[in-house]
Amino acid sequence: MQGKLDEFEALVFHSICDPARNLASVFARNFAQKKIEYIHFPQRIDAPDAVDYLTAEYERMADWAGELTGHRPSDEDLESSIALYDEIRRVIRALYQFRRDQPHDVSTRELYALVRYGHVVAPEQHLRVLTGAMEQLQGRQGKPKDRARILVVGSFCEQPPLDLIASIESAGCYVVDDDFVLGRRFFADDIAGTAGRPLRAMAEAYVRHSVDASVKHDLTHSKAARLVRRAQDYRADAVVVLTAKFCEPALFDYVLYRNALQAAHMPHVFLEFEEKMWLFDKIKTEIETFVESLLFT
Amino acid sequence: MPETTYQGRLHNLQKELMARYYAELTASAGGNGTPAAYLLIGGNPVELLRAFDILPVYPEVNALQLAVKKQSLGHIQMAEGMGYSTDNCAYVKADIGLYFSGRTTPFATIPEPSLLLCNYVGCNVYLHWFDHLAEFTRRPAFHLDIPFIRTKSGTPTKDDIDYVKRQLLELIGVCEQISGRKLDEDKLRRAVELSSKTGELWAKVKHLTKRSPAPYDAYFDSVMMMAPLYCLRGTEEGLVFFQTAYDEYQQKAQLGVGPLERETFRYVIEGPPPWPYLRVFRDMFTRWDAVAVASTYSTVGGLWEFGFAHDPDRPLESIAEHLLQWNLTNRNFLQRYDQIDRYIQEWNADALVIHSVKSCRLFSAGQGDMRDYFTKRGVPTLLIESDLEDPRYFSEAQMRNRIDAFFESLKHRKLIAAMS
Repeated sequence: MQGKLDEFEALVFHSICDPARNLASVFARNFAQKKIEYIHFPQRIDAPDAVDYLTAEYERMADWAGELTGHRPSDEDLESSIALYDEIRRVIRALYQFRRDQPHDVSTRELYALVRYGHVVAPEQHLRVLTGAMEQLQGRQGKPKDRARILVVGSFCEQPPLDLIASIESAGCYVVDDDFVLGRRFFADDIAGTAGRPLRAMAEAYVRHSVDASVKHDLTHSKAARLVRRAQDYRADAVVVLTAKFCEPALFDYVLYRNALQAAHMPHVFLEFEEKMWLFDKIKTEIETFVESLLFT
Repeated sequence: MPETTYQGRLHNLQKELMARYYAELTASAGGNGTPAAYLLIGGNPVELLRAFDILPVYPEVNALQLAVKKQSLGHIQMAEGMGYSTDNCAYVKADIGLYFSGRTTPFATIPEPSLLLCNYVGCNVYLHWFDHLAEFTRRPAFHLDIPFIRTKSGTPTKDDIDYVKRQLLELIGVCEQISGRKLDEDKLRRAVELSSKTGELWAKVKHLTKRSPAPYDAYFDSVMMMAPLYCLRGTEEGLVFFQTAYDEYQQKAQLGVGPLERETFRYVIEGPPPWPYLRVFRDMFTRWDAVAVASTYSTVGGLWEFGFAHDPDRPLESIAEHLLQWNLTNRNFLQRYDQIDRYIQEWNADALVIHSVKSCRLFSAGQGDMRDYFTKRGVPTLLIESDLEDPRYFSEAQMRNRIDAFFESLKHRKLIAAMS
């Protein structure tokens, strides 16, 4: 209502949570000039026809995009787009690996800005910047500091302020993995087998190779167990569950994460943020206290 | 002040039937061999379970019963001690707390689930809830993925119906394993037939409140009827209940008798009730001779008053249609506005009351816009807030002030209208 979305002609919603789903209708009513569409991702990842179902949804979305722009994307269009985004995701994965291995040479604040930059520029530009950053980082030779290696989870949708991320780091942490801006890194591998069937390949990737998220439900494995394994594999000293206030998916997952982390004797702390917060002293003190507690246990 | 009392054979019949139902749960918990499936109210496929003699157990119904008996808070706090947030749905917390307290309630011992059937019909919390129950109980779980209504027409596509049907066929395989027997198609058809007749009677009962005076309160009396609608639908007993309900209320309608001595205000109400304070909340409206003529909460499990009925000749298709389209939770928010609009017009209501509950974002997210929409359409609209399960979020004095002020202004509005 402040006009910040005026340049958008269309919005696509998905049922990541009940408010998000209802928001689609509120937008449709109040901004009738905008095209509003809704995609329902399969919530039974292990269903025999989950891929068929999602492929049909993607076809529907492609039709809608075609009506919106006057040009329905062809298979070739989709294949080259997938290839481009696959490349972006590869560089992001490389950057995340770099940070895991050399957290003293790239801050999470920097990495976050690099990944999120993709929201506001064309993907080709994003890839150029990411690739350039990766090259530059190779030349850094900082000195490792005595900091706690932590995983930060829970901020997959509403994002914490950059200054909050910086506060976490300055409180004595190296973030070795996180779920910030998860939409940019949703696939653990390249989307394979796109030739002549790009939408089906995308559906397969979602069902078989997408990362865990609080908005995705998969009864075939325990997200909490995977979180513990990830923390152990990345030699994390602790896990910080950092959720947006009132974020129900994250608040639900926290309960299972807490149980699993306690069972694995992995130190953890729960913190909440607000996207518009501007004072970070309290949360920084909480992290500092937590990090100190790690030193003495 | 008009006295609110429950009377009539219907209420006693409800108590008797629900007591019998809860005795079945207790017997199953005691190990009599009857399998029990936990499922959710929103668009529930209870007919399939009934076809296998699998006992349907609704954690939501258990939670609300605990709240009505003022026993929910201890369970909620136990869940919060486990890490659940004050912002998590209190139905879930009450249920989880109940599970870890031994599953004993004043009304039944709830059996362990033989199957966790998450009918994901609109409410995202359902998925988390049953993910957690699967983790805690280590019992077989099946998510029934019901695509959200996202067509402009508000009807599901054939692809969506087929997608749901295929899952129902898978579910039949699961039920066959749980029950140890093959699906008896005649039994399924009979359950669907009973459900169809029950739904038709429920629709007729709902249409009775179009009359003035309405023969019953379509919120506070409807919620009494919801328990048999979900727990006993698809059974002979369920049909008997709704036949009795229709007979009783139709008789009252013909006699021009309502739940109050005088009906001054007719309102539509959106949202679940504050179960721990049901009676207190009801009295806040009855003191104004206000009767609810329609409610959205009574359509969470199914929307039968606009022409839908299960079809025994197409059992799986009609169950799929019920899950996809004919319930409140799988419809978008604008469809809910249309539903409320119909109630206001066709049921001749004076006002809309929106009871926004902290726990339930499926209901509450966007209700500010709802108030704006109906107010601009000239419908006097009141928005009040509390919670459906957690007694800590009910402020009686504040609630009463808001409701009194609203009906005072409605009274004035009616006076002005009468004078002009």
